Amino acid sequence: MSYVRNVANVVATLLVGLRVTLREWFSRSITLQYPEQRWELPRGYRGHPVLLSDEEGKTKCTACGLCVRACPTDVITVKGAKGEDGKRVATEWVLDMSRCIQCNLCVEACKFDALAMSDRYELACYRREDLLYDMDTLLELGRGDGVAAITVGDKL
Amino acid sequence: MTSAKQELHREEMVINMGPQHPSTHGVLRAVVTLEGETVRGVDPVIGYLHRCFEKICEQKTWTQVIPYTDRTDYVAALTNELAYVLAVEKLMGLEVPERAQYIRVIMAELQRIASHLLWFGTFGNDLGAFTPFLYAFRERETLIDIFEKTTGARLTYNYIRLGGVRNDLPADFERETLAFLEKLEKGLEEYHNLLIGNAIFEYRTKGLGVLTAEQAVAWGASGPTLRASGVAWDLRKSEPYLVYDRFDFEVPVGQKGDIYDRCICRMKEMEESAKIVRQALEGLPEGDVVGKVPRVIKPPQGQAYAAVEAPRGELGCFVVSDGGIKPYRVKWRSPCFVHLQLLDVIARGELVADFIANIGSIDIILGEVDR
Ligand code: SF4
Ligand code: SF4
Repeated sequence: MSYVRNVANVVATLLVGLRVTLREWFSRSITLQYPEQRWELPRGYRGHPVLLSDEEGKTKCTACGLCVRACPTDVITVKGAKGEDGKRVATEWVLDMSRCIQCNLCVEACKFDALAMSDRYELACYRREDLLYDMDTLLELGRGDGVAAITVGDKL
Repeated sequence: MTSAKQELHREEMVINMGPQHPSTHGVLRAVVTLEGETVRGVDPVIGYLHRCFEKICEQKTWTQVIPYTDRTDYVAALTNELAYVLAVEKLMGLEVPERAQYIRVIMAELQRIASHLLWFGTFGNDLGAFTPFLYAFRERETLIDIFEKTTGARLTYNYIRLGGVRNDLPADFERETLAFLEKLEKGLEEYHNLLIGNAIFEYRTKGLGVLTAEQAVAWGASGPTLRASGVAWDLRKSEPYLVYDRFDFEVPVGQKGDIYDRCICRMKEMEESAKIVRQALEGLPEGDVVGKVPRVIKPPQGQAYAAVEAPRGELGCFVVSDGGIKPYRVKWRSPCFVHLQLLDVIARGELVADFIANIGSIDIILGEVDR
């Protein structure tokens, strides 16, 4: 007899669970039809670092190398030269995206507002070489939307 | 009948469970000795996720270590950062502004909820109930969105910094968090209806995987695994760090130390964490979020140990400095590593089908065990 009661008990509790299922069935669906629909990313989402440019569209980077030293995975390569006005500017700025851990430490290190984080997240590509982002690519991405530089002590 | 007196042929069988078993929460290999269906011994084999974390730390500057700590216990990244940062701050004698301390408490407690939600989902899964997984992830998703807004990342936050936190909370943080906590309350009720109160669940967890208080203490268990055995030891209460002594909360303890008690402890802990977050949000002082930190971080020669109550237990970090820009040594005391050894204690003599429940009940993260 107690066996039958056990089974009845199990069935009863299962039904309690199914009531929830039925309720959810008729409530609004929250599925997002990616890639047709996309979610809104918050400001400051860390996709990967990009370079910011000044009003003339030139890089603000002075090739000081602070970001290179701050990066935990050693993925930044910067080369600079003296520009026409005598100030140093970067001539080469390469980010090896295959090893970047998107930690934001480079952005925090930069004292010239030359770096920011982009909210780009579709980073897949067919060739590993494509993961090396050069200066022009990074400057171009830096002019797009969803770019924010959040450093230590900032208010959001 | 003479044959009845003759001994039946018995033989123990050794099987490998994992390392790619879906129920082992990562890549754990357990060498299980079976006699029929009964477990006679468990020998966990670890190391599949070993990434030389401690050695890598010696190669990085003090700040660069923080993103690496995220990757040990990857479902509770903020607590890892906290343990490391507290240890280094202790060594350097850094002052942390009050607002930053409150934010740290809020984030650590939200992280505990997120981690327990993940545990709840996967544990249901282990027992063959898939639905709770989806429910738990629904709530966790809201929380992860809050983290994403605050820290910029969904899993590896890199948010806590030496001397404070990276940035202040976003404008609608309080509103969203309170809304989440309300949602969580409803969610928890639902979870109880859905899984914890389910008869099958009770049959599969009550009286199984018992860990007595003496055993738990002797093996160095901590966190919910220890408290379920009836030992009220919680670092937030017994050795308060940050500003935990200002909040009013309970430490849930179990009685029997079985799988069921461990589950209930974690469920109640989520409620307590919600309480702490509410109080901290109420008392959140204004001010800076980072204190005065030297430009180049060079802690003086010496060593320091800091421990925090992570979702899984006592997470300790021991750092040694030789006065340079890089740590001389970083040692990680991970609760999961200790708990994994309990498997043999709690699963011995029980059925192999309950072994999965036993693994789930101690809530191990292999990334933290192997690191
Ligand atoms: S985000 Fe981190 S890993 Fe990536 S380039 Fe910047 S410092 Fe290096
Ligand atoms: S820290 Fe800024 S200015 Fe210096 S090299 Fe890096 S990007 Fe350029």
